[in-house]
Amino acid sequence: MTHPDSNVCDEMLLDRYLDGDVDAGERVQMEAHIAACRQCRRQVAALEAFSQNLNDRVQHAVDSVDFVALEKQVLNKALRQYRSRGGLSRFVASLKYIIPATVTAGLLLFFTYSNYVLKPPPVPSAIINSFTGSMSSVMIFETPETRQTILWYTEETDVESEPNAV
Amino acid sequence: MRYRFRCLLVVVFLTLSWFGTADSLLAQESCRISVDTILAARNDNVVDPKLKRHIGELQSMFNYTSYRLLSSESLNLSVGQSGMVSLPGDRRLKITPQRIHGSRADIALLMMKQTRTVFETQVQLLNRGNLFVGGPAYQNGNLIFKISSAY
Repeated sequence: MTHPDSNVCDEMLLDRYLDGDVDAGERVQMEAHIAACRQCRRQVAALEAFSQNLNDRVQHAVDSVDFVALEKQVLNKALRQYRSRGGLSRFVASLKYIIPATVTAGLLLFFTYSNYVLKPPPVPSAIINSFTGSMSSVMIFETPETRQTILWYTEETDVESEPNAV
Repeated sequence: MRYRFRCLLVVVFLTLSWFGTADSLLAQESCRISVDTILAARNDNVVDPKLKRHIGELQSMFNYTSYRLLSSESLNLSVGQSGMVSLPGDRRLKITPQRIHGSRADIALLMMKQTRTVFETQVQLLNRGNLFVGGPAYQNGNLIFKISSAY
């Protein structure tokens, strides 16, 4: 992209020339123009001086930074944030699930233990409060282990009965 | 919030279940009475498979070798209601639940043979417990009545 008249000042082209963003033809054209144009020469000189000054300051600022210490500082800060987020706070957050779950599990254990595991010693399966009748004999006893109550009687008129069955 | 509500429901359910099993909340008004008639004899070694679970301990106490289940009858009776079970040898057993409290039911039993009262008794029968009433001679052995309640 060449300018048709090299004697006319073109600021946009000048900026591109200073940035090195021109083709060979434009460079020749601008060099010819700058050589002939005092105003553009001054502008080029001023911009180059400004650019140099900026580069110097940036370089000075970069030189004054201790990157090792900065890296350490950033790492420490990141680690602190990670620990506070993933450590204690996560544990505290999980408590709202752990506590109800523990209470429920405890109640389940208590319920199961008191109703199914903790079996009371066997009691007589039946307690006979009263007994009347017309029999020749009656015995009340219970089995030794499970305490099943047994009522054994012999009818008065029962000639076939076996009183000695037990 | 919903999670906490669910937890609260579980806690309430378990608490009620526990108290429920402690028989303090729900009063029972009826019970199921079962009467199994068993013929115990010595002529062979047959034990009815249905009786094996209940007879095991009896076998060590009696000198019978065979136990046959002759009949089995169940009655659902309310408190105060009477039920009659027919038994071999022209016998009848009248059963009347009188009260249910805690783990036991007060039950009145009246054994009759023909028109005659053989015995009358009042027992406190454990829930899911058995009372074995035996003795009457029948055929070549003796009858044992297994009376059980459940509510």
